[in-house]
Amino acid sequence: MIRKKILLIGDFHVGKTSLIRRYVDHAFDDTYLTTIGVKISRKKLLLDHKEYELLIWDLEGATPQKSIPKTYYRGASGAVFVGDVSRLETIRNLDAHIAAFKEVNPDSVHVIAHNKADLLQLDQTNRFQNLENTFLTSAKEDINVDKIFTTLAKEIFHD
Amino acid sequence: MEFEAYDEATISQKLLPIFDDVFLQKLQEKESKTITLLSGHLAQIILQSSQKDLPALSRSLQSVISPAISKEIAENKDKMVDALYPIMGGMISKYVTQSIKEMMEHINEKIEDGLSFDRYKRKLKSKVTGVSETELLIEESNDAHISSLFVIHKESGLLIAEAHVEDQEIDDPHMVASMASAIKDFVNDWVQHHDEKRSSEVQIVSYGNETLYIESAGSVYIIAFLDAEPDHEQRADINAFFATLIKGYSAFFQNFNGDDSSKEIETISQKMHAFLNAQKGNKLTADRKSAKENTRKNPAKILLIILGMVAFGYLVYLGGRYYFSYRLEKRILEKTGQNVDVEYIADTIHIRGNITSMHDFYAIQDVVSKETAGDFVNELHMPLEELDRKVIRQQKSIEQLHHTLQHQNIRLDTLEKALAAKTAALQENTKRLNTLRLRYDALTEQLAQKKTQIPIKKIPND
Repeated sequence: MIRKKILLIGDFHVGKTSLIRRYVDHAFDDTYLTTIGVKISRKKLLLDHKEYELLIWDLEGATPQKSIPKTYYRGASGAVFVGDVSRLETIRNLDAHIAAFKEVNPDSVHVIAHNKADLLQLDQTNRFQNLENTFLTSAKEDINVDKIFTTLAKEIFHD
Repeated sequence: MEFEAYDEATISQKLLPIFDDVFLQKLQEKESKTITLLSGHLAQIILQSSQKDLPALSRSLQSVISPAISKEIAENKDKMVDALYPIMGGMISKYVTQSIKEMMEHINEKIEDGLSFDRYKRKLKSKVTGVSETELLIEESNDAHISSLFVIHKESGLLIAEAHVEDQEIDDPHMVASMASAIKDFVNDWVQHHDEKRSSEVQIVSYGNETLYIESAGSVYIIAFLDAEPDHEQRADINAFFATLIKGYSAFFQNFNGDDSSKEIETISQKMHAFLNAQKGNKLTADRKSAKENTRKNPAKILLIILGMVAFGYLVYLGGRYYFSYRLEKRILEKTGQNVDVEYIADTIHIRGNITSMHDFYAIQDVVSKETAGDFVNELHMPLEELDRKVIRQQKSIEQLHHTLQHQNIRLDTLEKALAAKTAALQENTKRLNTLRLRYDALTEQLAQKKTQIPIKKIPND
């Protein structure tokens, strides 16, 4: 079996841990518990009848006072960059996160999750669509959660 | 109102909004009957609650009990200590006793294995280092035991190969490997953040009795899971084993892509298993010896070991010869009182030294012959002065003997002459004796003839 390391990166309280919990355990909890350091999960998936495994590193959220140790980025084949649609500054910060990650892993692939889509009104969803590798997601309502991980996995394993 | 007072539902409806306030007011009153009433039923209420929904009651009390205990300890420390002492003391005592028992069993095993090479090695080490054999035994019995080995890709934290001692598998090794990498990365990042000049890596992670020994190479690192911190020798063992893996699979490690189905991983795992099994129970089994040999296949080292053994053998041989020579010298001194040198030259014993008499010469020769079965070279010599003195002494003796002999010869001549005179006299006497005998014989014959001519007269009987 082939295993790969992927990361979830984004500002604090954007729902990274919740996305993983929904993807791995099919569960959601409204309680906010901040991630300290890193939490690792793993998930097996089938692509074209072949089994693969993702080792998902859930990194603590970056804050203006505290950046994420770059050593965590090393050896990652891909990353999910997560922003909170209800806090637009977290969406704007994604470019900086992507640049920092690409600096360490220039050949890696990534997807972007605009999370907490359940908080958007229908007319507000339009502004987040039609972007490459970008998905409106909701861990709470289980919207596009599998899709972001599967898209990323296909790019990693089929490359 | 009066009419309404007879209707229970109406009364309840009227009282409900103000019940909480009234109840609170009653509770806050000094010497309230409500508290007295409630306290009488409190135990019953808790008991019923626990029977009805124990988890809910536990959750309710959980938030109260911890602060209550903390407060109790802070305010009545001595009471708490007295209360806990019999329990904690027993627990600690039991734990310590068990640990000592295990250690004693371990030491006993080693002592029972009395004829092993390790025992003599330990004895020698004890003599050389001055550390007592018991201390060395205790030190050996404290050897940490490796339960698992992981080889992890340094960049990604992905587990490449793993091995466990039987029945000591680690749950979800891939997660553990990634988490260990994260911890290692965090510590390294933190250290380098605080001291940029440092480039060392974390080596030991301990929690209680569990210890992770981490040794890093360029593209991979190894984690040994132990039950105690490894000593220098064990670290060297692990590092040497790790070095053989790096040497054999360097290219594979560098190009590792997360695929665990390759043949190399199987081979690496087998080697790791062999290494782990070899250290099981801290005894050097045949497997371990072969693993050790594999990990130490350094021609220069082997040559050095052989040379060392040859040198040691030669020293033993020389020591044996020296001891034999010393013993023989001592024996000669005891038996003859002569101080001579005994020396080996080309496998032959040479006896050297000055002696004062031939008696000593033969005595020494006798002693050496008995000890060496006759195979020796006698190089003993007497000083010339001593010999000269002996020769002069002998010459004087010869001269004296010569004088004595001459004197005796003269006496002999005299005696010969006397003897000749006596012999002549004897011959004369013999002649005279013969003549006298002839006359005697003639007379005897005449007497016999006369007897026959005289008649015999008969005398009458009257």
